[in-house]
Amino acid sequence: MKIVGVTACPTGIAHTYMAQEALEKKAKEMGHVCHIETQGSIGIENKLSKKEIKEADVVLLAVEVAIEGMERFEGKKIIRKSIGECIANTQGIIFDVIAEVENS
Amino acid sequence: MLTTKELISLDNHSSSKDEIITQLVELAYKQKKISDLAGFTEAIYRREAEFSTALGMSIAMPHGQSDTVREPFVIFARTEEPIQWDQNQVQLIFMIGVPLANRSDTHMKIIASLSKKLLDESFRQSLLESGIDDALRLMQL
Repeated sequence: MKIVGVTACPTGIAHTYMAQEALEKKAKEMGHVCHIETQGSIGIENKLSKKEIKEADVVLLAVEVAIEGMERFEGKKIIRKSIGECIANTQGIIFDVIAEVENS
Repeated sequence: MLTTKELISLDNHSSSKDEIITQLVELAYKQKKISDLAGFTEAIYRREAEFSTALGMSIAMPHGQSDTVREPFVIFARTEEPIQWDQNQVQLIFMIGVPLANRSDTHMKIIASLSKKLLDESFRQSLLESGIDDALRLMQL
């Protein structure tokens, strides 16, 4: 499955980046393609390309604050999860996302 | 450098979240990293109130973004015994302070990469076992 997503935490200092790393690593381990954009204190990094968004099966938003560029995801399947859960229970979150996409 | 020897506390005897937060904020103040104890403490708790910074892996990362911060810093504390931090037991505590203005991307990137590295079990294990010199080296990313 192809997953794209955005992480953004209240201060954009630590968990934005921790969640990105956790999700990309775990998804890859589980055999999925996953690209996560961070919107934090350094601004937007690891920016999603139009192509990646177009090809993605699902958009995972782990955002605790308003983010930029929501219009890019118009018409896509969007799933929202808490950023804390994405770090504490990364594998469970990915299972959930996949199950939700497959059942929709 | 975000972490210096003076900002590392190994074999810390704190037994609660509140106790160690108080202690580490005082350390930041003594080391002249913050200008106001109460103001920075409030920033830390305001962030904790959003969602706990203890998310498993024996780690808590209390952080405050405040104009009471003179320069960005990361304090590393390791408690002698695991302590309860909201829903989790923690032993490795990283207290991060960043000012609201005049902060460089370089510092923010170092903090981001520390956050990512903490997902690595062998890195955490090294931090659990290290003496002061190794701890300092591990914290220099």
